[in-house]
Amino acid sequence: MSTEAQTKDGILKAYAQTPDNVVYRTFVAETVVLNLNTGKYHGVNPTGGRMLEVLAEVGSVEEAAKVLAEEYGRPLEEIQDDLCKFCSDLEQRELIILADEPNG
Amino acid sequence: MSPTAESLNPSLQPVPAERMSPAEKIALVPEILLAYRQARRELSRSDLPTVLEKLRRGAEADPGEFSPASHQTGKQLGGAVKKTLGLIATRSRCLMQSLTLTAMLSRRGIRSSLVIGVESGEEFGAHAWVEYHGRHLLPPLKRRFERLTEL
Repeated sequence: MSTEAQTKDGILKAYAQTPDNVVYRTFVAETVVLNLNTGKYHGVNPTGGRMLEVLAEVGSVEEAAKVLAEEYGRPLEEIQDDLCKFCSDLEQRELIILADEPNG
Repeated sequence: MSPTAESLNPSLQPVPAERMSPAEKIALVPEILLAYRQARRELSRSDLPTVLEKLRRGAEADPGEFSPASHQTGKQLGGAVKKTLGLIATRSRCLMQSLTLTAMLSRRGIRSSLVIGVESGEEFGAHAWVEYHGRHLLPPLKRRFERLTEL
């Protein structure tokens, strides 16, 4: 997904997939993400870690935003902005794939 | 001809002695250095999963049942690899030792796992080691690393 996915609407329509070469583990203070292809480790804070988990569970970025908005008791639009920015960051680091269709 | 233990039970494998002799250890050094060179060269060209695939040619795809002989061999080789490569200043020492050991085990038909663990908290740390049926083959560090992935 290219320029379209980088807009909020484009990202919301997408389905987040974790590539096989990306693994992560959640700790108390952070979630550690490893890209096996690059050998680079990335740390995300607990909120980002929870976003990763929900994205892995539901796939759809739009649905994940709804789940997180309810969970955190925050306005949907605010969560959508944060989640889309997070997804965009992850995609740039090749830690997720934003696909047009769900996995499988 | 009287039956021997091996003829009565063909699957019985003699387990190597707990310790290798000094001569046996020295004899491993050329192989360790060659395997290290191979691993380093492959890692400079490919990503880790691809490197492991290449180094594992020769090992069975399925580790099968636990074999005391293979485990003992693995531990001995692990100790030799750590001691030999410990003298070489290299980046990612634990990963290079793990890849070297993986290659040597594969040549002996032993399938192992390469585990990557991380330590999160005040100080971030990552470590790689080799296991055979869940048992460490390289001497573990004193620090505790949580398992991140097993390849």
